[in-house]
Amino acid sequence: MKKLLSCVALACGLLGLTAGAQAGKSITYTMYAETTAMGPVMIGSKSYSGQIALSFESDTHFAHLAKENGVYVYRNDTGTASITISGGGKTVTAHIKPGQIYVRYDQVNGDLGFGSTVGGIYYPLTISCYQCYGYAGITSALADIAAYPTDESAYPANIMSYATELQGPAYLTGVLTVSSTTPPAINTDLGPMMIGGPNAPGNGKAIFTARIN
Amino acid sequence: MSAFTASCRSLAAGTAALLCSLSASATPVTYSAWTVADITLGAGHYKHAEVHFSLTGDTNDLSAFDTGQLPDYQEGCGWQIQKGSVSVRIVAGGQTITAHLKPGQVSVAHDSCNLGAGFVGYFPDGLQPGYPLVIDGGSVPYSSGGGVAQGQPGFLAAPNFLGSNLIWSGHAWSCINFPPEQLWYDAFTSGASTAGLGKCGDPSAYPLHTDKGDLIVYQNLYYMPAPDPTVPPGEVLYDDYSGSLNDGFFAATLGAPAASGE
Repeated sequence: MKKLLSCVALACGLLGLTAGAQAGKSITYTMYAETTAMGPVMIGSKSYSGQIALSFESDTHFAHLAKENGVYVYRNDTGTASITISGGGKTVTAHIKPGQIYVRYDQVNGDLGFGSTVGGIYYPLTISCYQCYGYAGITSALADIAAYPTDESAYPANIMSYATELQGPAYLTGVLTVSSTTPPAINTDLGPMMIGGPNAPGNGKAIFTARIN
Repeated sequence: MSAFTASCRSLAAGTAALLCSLSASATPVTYSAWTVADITLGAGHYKHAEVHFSLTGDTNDLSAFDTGQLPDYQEGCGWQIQKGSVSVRIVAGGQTITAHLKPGQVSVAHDSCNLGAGFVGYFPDGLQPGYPLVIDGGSVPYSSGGGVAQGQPGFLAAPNFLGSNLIWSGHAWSCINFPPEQLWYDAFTSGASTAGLGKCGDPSAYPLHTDKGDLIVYQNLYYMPAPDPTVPPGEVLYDDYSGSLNDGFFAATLGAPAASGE
């Protein structure tokens, strides 16, 4: 079933990339999360707690379709990333050194967010669904419909409009993946950054947005 | 740990009682919750708008609540604050609008018996515990209520999380008649009519009055699989946690709020 749907995704993707006509626009992708579920974010020698906003500024013409493990996914690998943590009345922003972070959306498997060269597709912050049904958010609902199209009747009539090709405004929700091992360090201007890890409680929800600037 | 407890622990025994009281009464706090939703404010309608509610108050105005065990074996327990100034900030289409709610319409609560937290509304026909914006499930902490109502012998207050800096995430609700699926199941199992049940009610009948006009928040993201082979999908919410596809955040920040340029 998923292979069949990946073909559907491909068709939609090709249409979108050729007819989408949003190339050349500045776009910002952001994942909002929180540290009660993820554990404090370590940057340099300090830990920070609060609202997490991991952002990636790019251009829509860098968004592209890629085939990974037999599934077509949307990616954007070119841009500048930063993380802001706000809590307890304090805010810190660290700028991530280039070439470490990318944006990725796998509609078939319900994976959406920020992967990295050091940690793979789920790290540092990715929404995913182990069992993809509606109760795990919009991302999970879209994966459910991709696998079982008749399930669409359980969702709002416009649910498919939330699917994104990373080329325009987007809003999706879901459950965050938490690393079960010690997370690798991502280099920032404030020192090495680590998110999550085996002691993170989990159960966190997240919001992913894309905004045309 | 509450701000009250935290401040007390740093004080020497003997002077603690007086100083704790003074400290507790002087702890400003801002509660906030946000999500993305369709909203109406005054004459404007905004799709996919960021909606940020905030209540600025004092932790000394926090109070415990506990319904005790109700006839349907449900219980609500936790802490709430009804005193404070409430505003909403809308971010949509490149513009930001801040509106101030008229007093007495909204309070903040953490119902730890039901893993819910957020902004609940008071309307002429009563409390709306899922409107205008609450989150539930996710990382919202749970505690058992013990089944004894506040004021009754044996009552024990739930832990007070609202007196500390915090941030939680969960399913976001802006739902009139929350939880509607319970009403549906009660009718369904008794053989009564389920017409009009199982879904959130029409929020346009529950306007919140602000200095920029009436505010209405819509629950447009839901999950309604078939609850029974005889009932088609799209009729009843999955449940009062995962029936919402939307997510949001709730936070408490101790200290005076930052100055706003708006």
